[in-house]
Amino acid sequence: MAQKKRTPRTPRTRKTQHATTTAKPSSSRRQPLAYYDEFGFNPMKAEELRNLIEFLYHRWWRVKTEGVQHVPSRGRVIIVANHAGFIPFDGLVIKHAVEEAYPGERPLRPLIENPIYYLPFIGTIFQRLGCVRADQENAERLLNSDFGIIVFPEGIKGISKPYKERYNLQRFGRGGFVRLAIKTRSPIVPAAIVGSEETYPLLRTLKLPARVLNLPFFPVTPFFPLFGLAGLLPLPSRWFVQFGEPVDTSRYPQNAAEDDILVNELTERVRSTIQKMVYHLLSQRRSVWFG
Amino acid sequence: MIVLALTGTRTDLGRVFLQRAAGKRGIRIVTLDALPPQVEARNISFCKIDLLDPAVHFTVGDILKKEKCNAFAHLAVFNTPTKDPDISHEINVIGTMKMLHACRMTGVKKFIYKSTALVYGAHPSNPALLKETHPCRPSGHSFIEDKQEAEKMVLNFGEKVRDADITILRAGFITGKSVSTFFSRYIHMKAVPVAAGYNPVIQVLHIADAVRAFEASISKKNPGIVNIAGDSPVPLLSLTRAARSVPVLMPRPGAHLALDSLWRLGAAPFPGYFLDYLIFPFLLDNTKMKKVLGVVPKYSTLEAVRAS
Repeated sequence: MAQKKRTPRTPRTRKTQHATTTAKPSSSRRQPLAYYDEFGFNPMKAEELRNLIEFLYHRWWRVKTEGVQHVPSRGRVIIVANHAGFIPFDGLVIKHAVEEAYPGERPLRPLIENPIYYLPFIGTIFQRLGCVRADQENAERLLNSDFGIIVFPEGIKGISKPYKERYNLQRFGRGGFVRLAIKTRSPIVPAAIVGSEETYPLLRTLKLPARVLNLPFFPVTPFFPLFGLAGLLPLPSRWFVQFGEPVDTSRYPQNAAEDDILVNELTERVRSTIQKMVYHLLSQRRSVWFG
Repeated sequence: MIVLALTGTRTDLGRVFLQRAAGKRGIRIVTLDALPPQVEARNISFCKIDLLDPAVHFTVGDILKKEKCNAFAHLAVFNTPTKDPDISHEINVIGTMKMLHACRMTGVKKFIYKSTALVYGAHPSNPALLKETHPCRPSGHSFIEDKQEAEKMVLNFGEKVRDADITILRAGFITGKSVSTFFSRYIHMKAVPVAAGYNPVIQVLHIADAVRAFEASISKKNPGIVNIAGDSPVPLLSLTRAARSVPVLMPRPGAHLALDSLWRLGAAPFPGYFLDYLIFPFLLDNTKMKKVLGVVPKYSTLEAVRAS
């Protein structure tokens, strides 16, 4: 949907506009919102798409949040969550949930995996909205300038798991987020999301079209690819987001980032916390669509 | 008094530098080139050399000694692949080696080399900002491998020669009036091939700011490797609009093929694989340029493209 908004930019009409009234486009660019940061985030584009995000958040998924107060209102923080949906909207939903709690003062950046980041058109929109390519160096840069980041340690494994395994957390990589937290002295806030799995019920993944299109996997849902691009519309399941108590990492010395046993232990602790919160949310949910 | 030996007077950087340096006090420039420079001034002299001559380092060495040069700036390099890869190898690698050789023979310790940021390579795993310390990954392209090899020679010169003072300017995309860098030719193509769906933010430096960085490296002591890049990055498609050219969105392999064939016909400024630099993150951290060289770009990326 949002994809349609920016592609056919008809350069010819713009050009004639340029030739006749040169003042207009340049003056609009001089606004501070027209600024792009090094990750491709653009406040103006984000503002343009704000209505859409708000619609998805309040009307489409009717997100209910719990425990936002566990996210510190300022300073660096790593929010760790479970991952779902082959076009992952969960990062943007968490970002929006926290931003509503702390309007205009809690900058958050979801980290997204390479295959999503490099999806033509969709990846660009994610970038403009503030998503950043998941990379140790990028994450460190953000945390050191006191941004909050949202990470999904399940990675691609999380968004490609079949429907029958939904809400079973996949392995948590190599614990990169724990090392990062210790190194940069950032608290870790575990977060659980329920409802995201049902936006794209993944029946199976196909290998051949994935290879042809150079994707990590090719999704088959009840509506995609059957209904073409319309099948990419997320389903209106009801979403629940819960934030858990922060894990303080500032008491570990910085060289603890190299301590594999400690890193592993903390990783597993965060993973089981999130899994427990997911089960808790699931047990409270009465209906997938109406909550 | 700086006596600077300068090669590549007809490159964009060399030409604009000479225009600004003409008549200035405190610097005398000995230009080494096949053709005399287009700028005439009392502090600029000319000596004819041929970089492809196997004994060119002796000729250059004699000139350095005779003119009592104390600094050497090597700008005579290819910044985009040539159709015959042997020529660009001879100039970029062997040519640089001979110039370094001439400096070692005559005791010139200050060496400035204009390299390119393309040596970092275009990779999906590039971080958002490339620092000078980031490893270079030429990924099998012989032109970029040559560039890296030349850099290594300059670094080696810096290690082996006592009190050596080297600068390696890793230049990003540069535009400017009457400038024909590969990027300015690309952005001003009548139809600009663009990979559909990719619109990364890129940074462009105005030639005037690039020359200021080059001038600063002449007076600063041992800057080492420095990224030379513009400020306030904007998406590629905003730049084509600013340049008033028409972007032609094609699927990535199509755009690649189009550029490759146009390049063979001489209608595109670079071969297809350069397109990866306009798909994957390729922003340079210019903190060192600001802090060590003391050069803050006067033109933003958008202004640099508008002014070209």
